[in-house]
Amino acid sequence: MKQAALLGGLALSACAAPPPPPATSADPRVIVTPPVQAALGVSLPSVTTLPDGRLRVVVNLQNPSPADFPLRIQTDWLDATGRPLSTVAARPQFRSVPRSTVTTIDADAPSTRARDFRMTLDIESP
Amino acid sequence: MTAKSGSNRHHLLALGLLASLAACAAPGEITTQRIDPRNDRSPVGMALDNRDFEQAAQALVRSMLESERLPPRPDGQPRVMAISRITNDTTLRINTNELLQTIRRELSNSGRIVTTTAVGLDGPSDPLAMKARQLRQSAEFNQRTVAGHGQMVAPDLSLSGQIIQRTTRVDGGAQRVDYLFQLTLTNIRTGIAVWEGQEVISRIGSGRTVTW
Repeated sequence: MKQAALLGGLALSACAAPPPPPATSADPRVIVTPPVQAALGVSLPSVTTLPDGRLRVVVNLQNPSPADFPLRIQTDWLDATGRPLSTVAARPQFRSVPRSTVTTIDADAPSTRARDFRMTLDIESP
Repeated sequence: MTAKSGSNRHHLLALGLLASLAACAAPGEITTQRIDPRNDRSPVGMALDNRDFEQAAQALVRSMLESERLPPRPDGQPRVMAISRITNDTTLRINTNELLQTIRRELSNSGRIVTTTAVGLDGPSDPLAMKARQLRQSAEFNQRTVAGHGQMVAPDLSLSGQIIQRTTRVDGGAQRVDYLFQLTLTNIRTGIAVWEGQEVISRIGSGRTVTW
């Protein structure tokens, strides 16, 4: 009897729809590539101005999977005309997003000339 | 007829040999390619490359600019930094300017800190600023265009630091290498460190790899 119930439970769980993919940022300034979209939940970016006038962007990433995720983050900082500033802050950064938790990534503008940003989240290829 | 067919056979043999040689060479050969530093996905080694210096500089500059102990001068002008000793304590041959130049450029672009090239531990990095003062004695130069007395700005900050390497063996015969980038900003007037930062870049790889 117990075994039958167990088997029934297993069969039911197999029929159940797979869990929905994690919610993904709808902000066009945060570009999420398909592999990241499939694996991580990406929050809307929170943009604040620091006391010295520079912008700061904060994004939360949720990794519900049981494996760490290798992430490549690139943040372009745009001036008032929409042109990317030449800065080392725009170079790709490697981060490992730990499994089963939420990771906060943030980026500070290199100067007050930066008026907007564009953040690209991609998988770090081996 | 026989001679012609023999020559043809030789040609075919030579062609076949060439084709097989080309086939053998092709798979393992690495072709030279250009690398866009903004999109560099090339493999990494156990030693440091340009990406590591940029990552370290990025993190250290960010930490510096975040520091509340580095306000602008009372007159609103940026602080003036001189470069002191940066020690390379690794097995790699490193030109520390690779790190420093990026840091200087980022700080300068931030508008918070500028670097003097007229003062340095081993003399000025640009001796021309001082040498150009000799033009004061030349009648050939319009003296209003020559740098006057008391125009240079003395540094109020000194940047020093070191790059350290630690290599350890880990389970399975692998090797772990940690590179520590440590920088300190000292207030020259008081001798007190107003900011200290460290960025660690680590690798794990084959134990048979050497890191120099």
